[in-house]
Amino acid sequence: MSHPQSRMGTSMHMRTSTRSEQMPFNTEKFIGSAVAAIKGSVGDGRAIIAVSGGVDSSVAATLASRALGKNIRCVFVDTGLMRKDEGKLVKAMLSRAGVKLDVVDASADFFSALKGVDEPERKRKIIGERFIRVFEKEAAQFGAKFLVQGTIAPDWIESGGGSRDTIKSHHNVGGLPEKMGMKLVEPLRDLYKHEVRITARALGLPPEMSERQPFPGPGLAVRIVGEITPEKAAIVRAACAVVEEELEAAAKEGKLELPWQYFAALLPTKTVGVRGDERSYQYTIVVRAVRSLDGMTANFSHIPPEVLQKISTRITNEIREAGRVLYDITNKPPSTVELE
Amino acid sequence: MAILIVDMGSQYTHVIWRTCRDLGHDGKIVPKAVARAELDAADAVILSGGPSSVTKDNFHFLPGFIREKPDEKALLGICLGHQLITQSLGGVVVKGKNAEYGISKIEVDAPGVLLEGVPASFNAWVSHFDEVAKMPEGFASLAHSETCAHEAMEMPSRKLFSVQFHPEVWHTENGERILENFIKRI
Repeated sequence: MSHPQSRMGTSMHMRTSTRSEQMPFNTEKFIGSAVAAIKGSVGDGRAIIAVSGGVDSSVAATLASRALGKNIRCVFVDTGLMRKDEGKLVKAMLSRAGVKLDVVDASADFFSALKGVDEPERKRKIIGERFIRVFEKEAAQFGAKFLVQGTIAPDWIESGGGSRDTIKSHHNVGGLPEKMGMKLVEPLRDLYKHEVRITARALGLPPEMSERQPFPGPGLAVRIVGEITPEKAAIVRAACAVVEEELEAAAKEGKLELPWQYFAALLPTKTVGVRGDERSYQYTIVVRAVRSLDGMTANFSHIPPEVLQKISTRITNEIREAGRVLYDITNKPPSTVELE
Repeated sequence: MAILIVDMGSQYTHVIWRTCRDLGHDGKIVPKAVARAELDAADAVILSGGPSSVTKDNFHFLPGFIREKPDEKALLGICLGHQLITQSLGGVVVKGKNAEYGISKIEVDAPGVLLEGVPASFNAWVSHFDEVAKMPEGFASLAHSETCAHEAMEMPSRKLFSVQFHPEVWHTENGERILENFIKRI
């Protein structure tokens, strides 16, 4: 692949391997102590686990299943803000790892709670609270007093606390309501994404799961800048699917290294275009792809122009409401990976 | 060996802990209001970055510790920690002309102890506006960038080391080597 010049006139940062990736994380020790810690917290009681379909909560679910056996219930909440076919896909992947998943459709509830809300922190807090209310209901039916979550280190770091500024309230930390009827169990609190992936492989989760790109807890909500509507969710879902398909295909053909995270987001800004000799006035789609190890720092991926062109053409041709496509060339810091 | 990691509010405090662990050393994260006795009992102290400014915030027992610590106790300041060491020892910290966020090219002027074995020029990740305008007496400046004159400085005789960039994050090239160079001096 090419090595374009950065803003500083230096060659692109192409790190491939550090000690952190080579050996240091002791998976066996971690799995043993995590299973013991879950047993210790929950005892003979029952727990439910919030499964989002990402690698973090899937690893937490597998650890909790090992620790608690029949006393754990795994719940996937369909918020209406998930990727294309997410519920079905996740259920199938987890069943192969021996984890049974219950899918609860709460999309109407989420959309109505988010109506008219455009401030990103309020959106995240509403989503965090909605999640908990659904889990409380499910927990009560199952007789669970504990909620297991796949919270990892960047979630609580970025949620702020003490002298740390709040960058964003992760739904599973800063987005939690003050009052909730369950005790939290968070076996992955000190882990970062690359360590979770190593653990996922050791637990025998399929590669589609262990290597799956990160997906934010609030889902597509943070990929819709401003107010969320079912219409915008459908647009950004379709655009995300195009970005995923095209980048995965290009990576398979050896055109690029698959980015750490890659998706589309919707800006509420409309711009003018021309289609079939007719004026159009439609939303803006941002394509984002970054390289990272742990999500704490990131640089934008250097995607070959022909791949970007294919993505742009597909998005504007397949999604009527998408009038313009931009590629995000910001690192973290100063930006974050997701837009909200 | 007890490495105390003082959390001054950095996004990367826990990453410092993780990198020390990956290098084979257990660290302990403590809040910036940590008691003086705990600072005195540690073998080494690392001061994290943070969102505040040395000109505005209260740093409790840290400035006194920086001034009075015995020579053999190793101290590393990162970002805000680098600036706090500067201010506590009589140097000057000011708001820079330009901010630096994300990638920055570090040009090594004299590797000294801290940058030993590191290439003359490498990419690091930075996130700051304030910068060291004048180092405290006795310090050697090790490296600069396009916008910042003192990206790294040290006074090995007092085991004082500091960097403006973030050696703990994955995007910084040679970051582990730099932390290792510090740990070897403990």
